[in-house]
Amino acid sequence: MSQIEHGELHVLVLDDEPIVGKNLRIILSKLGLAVEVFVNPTLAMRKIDEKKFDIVITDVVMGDVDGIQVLEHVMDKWPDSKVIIITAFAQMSLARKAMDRGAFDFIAKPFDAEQVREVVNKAIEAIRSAAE
Amino acid sequence: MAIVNISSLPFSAGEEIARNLAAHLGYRLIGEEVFQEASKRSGMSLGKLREAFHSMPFLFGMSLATRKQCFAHVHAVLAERFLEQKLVYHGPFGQFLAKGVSHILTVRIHSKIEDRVTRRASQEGVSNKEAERAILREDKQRLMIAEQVFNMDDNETSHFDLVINSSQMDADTAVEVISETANLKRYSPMTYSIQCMEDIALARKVKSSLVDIDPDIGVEVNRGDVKVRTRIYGSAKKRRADKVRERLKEFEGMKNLQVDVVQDTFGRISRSLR
Repeated sequence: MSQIEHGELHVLVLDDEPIVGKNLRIILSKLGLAVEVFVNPTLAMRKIDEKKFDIVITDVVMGDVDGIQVLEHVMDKWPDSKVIIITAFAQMSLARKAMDRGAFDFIAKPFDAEQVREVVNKAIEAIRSAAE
Repeated sequence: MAIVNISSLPFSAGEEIARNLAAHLGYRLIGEEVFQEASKRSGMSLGKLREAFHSMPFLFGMSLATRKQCFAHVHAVLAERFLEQKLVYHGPFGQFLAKGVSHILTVRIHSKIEDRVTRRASQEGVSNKEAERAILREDKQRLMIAEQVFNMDDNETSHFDLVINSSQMDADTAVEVISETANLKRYSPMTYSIQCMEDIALARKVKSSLVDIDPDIGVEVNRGDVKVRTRIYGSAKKRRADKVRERLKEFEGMKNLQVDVVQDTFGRISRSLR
């Protein structure tokens, strides 16, 4: 799918490794999305309380707050948002747990740009279909 | 949109449940076709492949090496099928193939022995005593094959996501339970689980192409990076590595190849005596 102009779609990226957020910002900005990057899950959760993000991309293992808690928080507050989990600790039980809690997709690190683009484009398509 | 991978004890109504489930979900049902395709690709006869899955291991029967080759060929085809969506597989030992793939719902169907005996006696027109003898013999075969080929207990329920006792539940209810479970979000395909299955499918395909060189050959794949581990006795390590590399030259889907050759004189001898 070619670049899509979606300035009105907002994405929150949360990963305690700064390089991950930086890379994702580059990939997602090229898709025309408005991206906010966080390394601190507590600050990210506060932002989620204030504002709806159409797509949330979150790591899992981040210290005191894990990505599943972030997922549950988003689903609670903004059930239409699409949450994509990315993790270096991918395993079947975690993947199923994430899907049970409402995740849109689950990607194992290291990810490549094409994978992320594909998943995010699917999320955008799902958001557009729901809006029609 | 899970894949439903059903392994049933013979005469537990597994076939009926699998067929009705596929119809109910609108999924494709596969089973025998996997053996037919494996026979076509490998050049091994259908009879031999079936024998590997069903015949009692004993000293003068099918060799362990041949049995493992047969399993490798069948599982290569099955793993490829598991890359599809909306599929029901009904067949033996499927639970050992796609472990860890979250969108594959693995189901065991079993029954009380008395019910299996009654079913078999009725279907085959034999006495209950004959039916029971055959069932017990085949159950023992199944366990021995699983132990020999996979070093696993085929009766171990932890291999399954769902266990259905068809003595306690009629076929329609079983279909309902399985289809409701399959429709849970946790069994939806996701990028990670699809990648896992692609890795398994490539690993099985590679193994199938190498299993004549070493029936115990180990193959792991991580996003197209293939790691082959093979054991030899004697000093032909380089020759073995070269043979594997040659066989896998330009193998479709493979990005990188690492070959580890381990010298294992005593292990090979002891395995051949099993």
